Amino acid sequence: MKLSETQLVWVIATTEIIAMIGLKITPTIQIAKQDAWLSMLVGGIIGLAITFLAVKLSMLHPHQTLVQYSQELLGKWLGRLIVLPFLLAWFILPAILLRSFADFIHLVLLNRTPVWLIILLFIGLMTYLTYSSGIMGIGRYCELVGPSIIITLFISFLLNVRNIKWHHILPIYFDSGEINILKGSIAPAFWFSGPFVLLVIISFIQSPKKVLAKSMLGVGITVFMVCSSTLMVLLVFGPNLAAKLKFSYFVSVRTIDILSFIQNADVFIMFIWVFGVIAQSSLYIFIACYETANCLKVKDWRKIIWFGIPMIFITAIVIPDETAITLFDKYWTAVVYPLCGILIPLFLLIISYFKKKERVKSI
Amino acid sequence: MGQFAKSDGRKKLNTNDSKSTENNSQTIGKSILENEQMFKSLFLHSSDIMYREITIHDQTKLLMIYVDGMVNTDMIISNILEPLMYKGLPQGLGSIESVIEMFEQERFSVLQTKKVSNIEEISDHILKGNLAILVDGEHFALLADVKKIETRSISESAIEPVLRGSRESFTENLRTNTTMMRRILATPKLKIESLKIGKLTKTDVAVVYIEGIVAPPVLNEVLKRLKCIQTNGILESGIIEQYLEEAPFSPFPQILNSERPDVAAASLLEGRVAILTNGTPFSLIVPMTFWSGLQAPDDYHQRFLFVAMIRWVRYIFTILSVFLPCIYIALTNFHPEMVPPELMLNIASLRESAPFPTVIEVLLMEFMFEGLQEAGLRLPKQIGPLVSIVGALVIGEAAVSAGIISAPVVIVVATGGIASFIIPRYSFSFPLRMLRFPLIILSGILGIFGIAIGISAILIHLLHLQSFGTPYLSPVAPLKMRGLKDVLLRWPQKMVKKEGDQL
Repeated sequence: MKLSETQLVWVIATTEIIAMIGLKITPTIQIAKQDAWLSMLVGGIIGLAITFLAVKLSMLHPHQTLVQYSQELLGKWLGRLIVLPFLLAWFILPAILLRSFADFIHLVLLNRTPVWLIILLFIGLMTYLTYSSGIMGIGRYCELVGPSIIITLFISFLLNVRNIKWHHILPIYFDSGEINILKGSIAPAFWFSGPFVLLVIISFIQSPKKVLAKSMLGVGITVFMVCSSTLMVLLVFGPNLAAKLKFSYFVSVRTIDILSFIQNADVFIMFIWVFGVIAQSSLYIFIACYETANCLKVKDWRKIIWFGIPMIFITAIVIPDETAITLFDKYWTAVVYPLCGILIPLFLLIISYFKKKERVKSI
Repeated sequence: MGQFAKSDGRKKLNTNDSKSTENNSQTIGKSILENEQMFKSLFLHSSDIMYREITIHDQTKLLMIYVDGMVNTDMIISNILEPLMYKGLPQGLGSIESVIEMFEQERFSVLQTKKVSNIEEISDHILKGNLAILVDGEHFALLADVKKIETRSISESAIEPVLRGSRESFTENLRTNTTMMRRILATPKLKIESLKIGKLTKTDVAVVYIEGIVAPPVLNEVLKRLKCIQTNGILESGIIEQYLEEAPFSPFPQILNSERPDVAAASLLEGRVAILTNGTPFSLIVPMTFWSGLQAPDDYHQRFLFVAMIRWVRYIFTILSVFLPCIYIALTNFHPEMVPPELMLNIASLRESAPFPTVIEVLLMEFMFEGLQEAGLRLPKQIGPLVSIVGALVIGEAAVSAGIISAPVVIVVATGGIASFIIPRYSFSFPLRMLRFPLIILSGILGIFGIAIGISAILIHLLHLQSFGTPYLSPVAPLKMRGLKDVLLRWPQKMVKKEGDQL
């Protein structure tokens, strides 16, 4: 299985844009008010730093995934123990994402269709994508879907220009101050770099020369798109109204009305979003199954899919309600991400440096 | 299932083999009478095989065996019979050791000849229209190429018309077809490898490629798969196509077919491999990509701007042909708020009297449309116009005025149908016609979400599909910048670097 560098950019951008514009704009606006876009920008910079860390670590171990090099560095058992939180996160995350998006579709489009059916359809497609062509298929899929999403976003910005009111984002900075902006930036920051997928997918790239630049480009595109979407939402609704809308970007698209011909375009955005959600969840499912296979030393990672997918499906259905998802979000920002995204990679990075030095000395 | 069928066929072949191997590997004897008996028993109950015995100087006996109607009788008379009858055996036989050799040098010096003693080979050649001459006392047969097979002359392609470009198309005769290719590509690098496929038909198949441009793995794969074919008969290249393709359950064709030598030549120049089959004008071209299904032969012969525009018209109509019916259903049934209010009111008032739900209406009309298309295809040409009259009148006018079908549905289905005719490769319009139906059902159940699910499934399938190692959607996914330019716009000739990496 191979992943090209262009595909890497699009895998990062597609999966992150989908999650962030869908779920992270409103919470940020709730904290940072009209300066939410600044929060996004600050979060983006932090996100780039975390990405840098992850890429550096992966580049020290070319063609090896997280599970493989952690075992090499820490030994068989400690190495496996340390990746457990990652595996757990990778299995729970797609379930949470699927459930939130299925709920959303249930709410907006298909309120008479049971949620489990929507989830089942998604799961079916993801199994097909993951099983048939693995990361290669996901890469190609993102290569097609990513640009379409970005073009759609740009068009939606352009069409919404008529509804902009500049006074909504004034005054910049002074109302909230750096503390609120920073507070607002933490959750996005932990999302911009992706849920530690880079630690795995970089190993599929053949020539890891330009990986750092390309990953940065992917995150950069995400930061730009998310930041401008936040700005757009703020400009259209103002911070007070936007903070009360659950999926504020989709609602902002609904305000578009050109010649009474193009209107209620949010349905179309949802249409595009379906593709993104499939790409995103497939990526996490693939990584979860692939790394579990590596961890259990199963040669054919596809076998894991038959256990992993039903597990994700059941988790997605069992989630009781919105509060559980919010709780998971808080838990994610407070514990999971700092641990898996920063501490463990940093720890592994330091060990790798030491081991490398030792090796150099022994030679 | 396919595997069972294959192994079954192989068993049958083997039993056939064991019956006929008794005399197959044998060589012919010296006695002409015995040989004649043997061939007569081999070609038992075949009234078209002619045996002609000639005696010269009361001693040398010759036996000529050929298939009546497949050889050029004039040539036999003027080259063999007349000289022998009137002049007898040529003098100076001393330096020549056998009669066969004499024939080869004196009589057939202008013809293709071959000395063979294997019975199977001799009978093969006879059946392909060659003349076999056996001489008493010699255990060789001389085979002379005096073929004269009736063929259709080169004519214009019926299913791949072009505005500008060569008018000739392939014929049923393999040799004519290879000469056409050779005429276009007059280079020693043009290679034509030939194979025989089919236990009974022994169909000649030629694999054509340009050395140096073709990708060796593709070529090897083609040859490997061709050699694996185990069947009794190849009647059309479509049968070979089914043996060669990787995903027989995919709706998308993975091998391009063309009747046109210029299309085949252009594909060879891009590094593809063409497979010509005797008995059919349709050549197979591999590997195929999604985009080559949407390119017309004369796209490269016309001026850049026009073709660039037409290509986009084609893409948009292709999308319409698949998605228009299901989008109509999704919009009117699930998301009427997206349609401008006046238009929605119009549609609603027109739909008021229609008794069926929109999905059923669309499905009915699509089904009728497919039926009309097939009926128009199979009818004798004289009755052809009837279908269009009945179709237009009954299905268009009457169904609407009777209130069975609402007018917008007729418009939608007709537009979608016409849009599918814009696809330049006929075989490529099949998947698009087929995929309409599941999409209509999906959008009838789940609205625009269903369409997204359907498109995703198609997309995932296409991303996974390969044609001889080439990803089906390349150069778009995986992305190749230089190839992408050709997909989006056909650039002016001067600006295109031809390196055969467009795949």
